[in-house]
Formats: sequence, structure tokens, C-alpha cells
Amino acid sequence: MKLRTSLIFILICLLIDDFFAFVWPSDFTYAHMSFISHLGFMALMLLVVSQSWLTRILLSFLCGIVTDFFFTQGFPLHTILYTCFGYVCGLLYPWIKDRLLYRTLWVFVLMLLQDIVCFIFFSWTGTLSIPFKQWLYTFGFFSWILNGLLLLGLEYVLGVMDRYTMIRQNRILKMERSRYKKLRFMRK
Amino acid sequence: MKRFTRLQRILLIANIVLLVIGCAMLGLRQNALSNMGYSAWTYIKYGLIDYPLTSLTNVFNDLSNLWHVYEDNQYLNEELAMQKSYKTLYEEERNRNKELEELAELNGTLEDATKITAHVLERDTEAWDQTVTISAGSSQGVQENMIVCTSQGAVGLIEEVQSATSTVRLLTSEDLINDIAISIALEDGTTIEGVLERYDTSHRAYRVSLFDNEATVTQGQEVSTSGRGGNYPSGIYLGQVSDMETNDDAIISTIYVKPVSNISSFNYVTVIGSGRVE
Repeated sequence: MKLRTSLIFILICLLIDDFFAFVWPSDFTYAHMSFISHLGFMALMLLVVSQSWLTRILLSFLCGIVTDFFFTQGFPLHTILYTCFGYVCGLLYPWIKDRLLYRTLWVFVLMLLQDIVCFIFFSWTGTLSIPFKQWLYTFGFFSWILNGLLLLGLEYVLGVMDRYTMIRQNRILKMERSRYKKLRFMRK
Repeated sequence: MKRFTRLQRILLIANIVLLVIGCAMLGLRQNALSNMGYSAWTYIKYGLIDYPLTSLTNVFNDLSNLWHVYEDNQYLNEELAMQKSYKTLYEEERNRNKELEELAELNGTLEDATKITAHVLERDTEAWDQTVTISAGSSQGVQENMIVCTSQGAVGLIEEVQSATSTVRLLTSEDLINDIAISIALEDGTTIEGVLERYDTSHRAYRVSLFDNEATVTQGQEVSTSGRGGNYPSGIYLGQVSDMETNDDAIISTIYVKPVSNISSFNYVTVIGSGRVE
């Protein structure tokens, strides 16, 4: 997928995250279960997993900085987190590149770790003061289950986009071949 | 830079630019320029996401409230329609209650007499002023020729008795089964006696013949049973004198007695006989 398309796709996913946060706002009294969408993060991981380490770092850094400045107020938390996870996600790529299930599981695990790292950071800075169990019950479980479902949807969408790109490229190749054949014929 | 691919060069430049702008915005947080940039983005986000979503949510809320309003309206309309029937039911119950209270008061008097309370089961619309069927019969101690009273006074005589019901011949009927002996108490303490013969439709009153032609009877005097003959005690109210008929010698021999006010419409009666039921 082209860079421009990837960036637009990640931006759309971040906007959808914002949409979910608006429609189902989190309960910070921790009385009820809440849902925090990580569609943007998961889309980033899926798109950078097959790239080189430098491209991964740069793309993740860019997405992190956009998230920090335009969607959250916590610079440089997401910048650093996204960069680190972006680098880490490609480490296992040689072993998971042909296995869709393992790739999905790997991104899911990265999403879990990102949530837990955020919790640890906010607890350490004093922003959050609830026990881990309560956080797990009110934010963790419900969010992870729904994000898991969103991840499956994301895989499907990316698969469709990849197939579309492939079909388009094949069509372009075919057209170029037929043009080349015509040229050769005309020369003769 | 030659080590980097074209993609990596673009990303690097974009990152540096964004980092510089972001840090500048953070550093100049109170500055109007940074506020303007932040405000611009906030307004864009508000216009693209927050406001449309809020509007959509409000639309759904309003629609659901509208449905609730519709359901409430339906319910209230039904209640309002029921209200009119509740009112008539209440009026009817109130009237019955009043009738029963008056009947209970009547039952408190005439201690030596037989008193059997009943309610009207049937009253034929074609013979409205002739007969009535009541819910007391021989099993309750009802006997023929007992007098039947409402809360206002006497209205008829028992004509036929079955085990659980009885037929009452009303005093307004054309054919009374028996004449009723009456008496009128005068101011000087004496009484005038007579007999109720029949109902006179032209006068709309009972036609009563007096035994004493020289007695002074005035309009409005109360007429009651005398207890002579018949299966009922004395003192049961029949009506008020409404008119007198004089003969050629200017002697009053016939008077007309207006029936009790509720003879056309009553639901509860007391059957009164002389002596107690054993």
C-alpha cells in the first residue's frame, strides 16, 4: 500500500477512535465498564509490520506525534509508545509473515501491552489511583474484547485493500504488456 | 541522506516539521498563535465530529421521546374516556348509598313489625307502574299482602310469593289486589280513617275514600296506614294530601293522595308485615 493511502487510513482509524470516545464516553468513576478504542494503533501496527526498521520507526513516530497533538493532550507519551511498539512489532515478522492468525495475535498482544504500559505510566505519575484489578474489570476486559473484534474487522478491510491494490497492479501490468506488444507489432 | 529511501526521507522531513511546530506550540502555550492553531483544530474537530454526532444523538432521543409522548397520550385519552363512566358510576353508587341509608333509618323504626330487605330484580318497561319483582321470597319470610316500602314510604303490596322472589303490585297499578286502610292524623290529636281504593291517572294521585265526611282535611297532610286489615302495621307513610273532592252537599268524602317521590325509580325496598318472623 502506498504511503499516502496508509496515512489516510490511519488517520481515519484515529478519527473513528475519537468517534467511539464521543459516543461511548469512558466512566472515570470506575462504576461501570468502559470501552477505549485502539483502532488507530492496531491499524498502524498492521501497516508497519512488513516494513524495514527505519520506516517502522519513522511512520510510528509520525502517527504518535499526530495522536499526541491532535487527539490527546499527553505529549510525548504516545509518540514514544508508538515508536517503541512500531519497532518491536516488526521483529517477529519473518516468522509471522505467512500466517495471518499469528500476525493478528501478535498485534492483539501489542495492543494489550500498550494498555498495560499506559496504566503503569499513569499510576506512576499519580494520574490514576485505582488498583490494577479494578482497572482491568472496568476498562481492560471490555475494551480488549471489543478491540479484538475490531482487529478482525481491520484485517478484513486491509485484506480487501491489498487485493484491490494487487488487482489494480495486475491490470496496469496487463495494459503495459499489451501496449508493448502493439509497439513491437507496429515496428515489424 | 542517500542511505534513506524516498519514503524514509519524506517521513523524516514530516516528523521534523511536526516536532518543531508541536514543540513551538507547547512552548508558546499562552501565545495567541499557538492558541489560534489549537482553536482551529478544535473547531474543525467539533464541526466534523462532535456537532454532527450530538445532533444525531439528539434526533434519536427526540424520536424516542416522541414515541413515549404518543404512548402517554394514548393512555391519558383512555383514562379521560373512562373518567366519564367513572363519574356516572359514582353518581349511581352515591344514590344507592343514600337510598340504603334512608332504608336503614326506616328499618330502625317499627320494632314489632316484620322487616325484610330486598332489592329490585326486574321491572318491566311496559308495565313500569304496575308490578315489580324483588329478591325476597317465602324463604325469607315474605307473605302475601305484606306492604312494600322504599326509603320514602309505601309503594306496593306483595301479590305473589315464590321461594326466593316475590311479585309486588304497585299502588300506582290499575288493579290493586286489596284496598289499603289509611289514617290521617289531625292537629287536635284525632285521626280520620279511610281506604285507598286505586290510583287515579287524571289526578296522578291515589283516590282515598274517607269514612268521616265531616272531617277537616287540608292539603299537605300526611297519610299513613292504619293497620286495620292486611298484613302490615300502622304508621307506614303513603303520601300527602294533594286534592279534595267535594260532593253536592259540600262534604269531603274523597281525597287524593300524592304518592311518594321515588315510586318511579327505586332499587331497594323493605317488605313490612305485622308480627315478627319466627
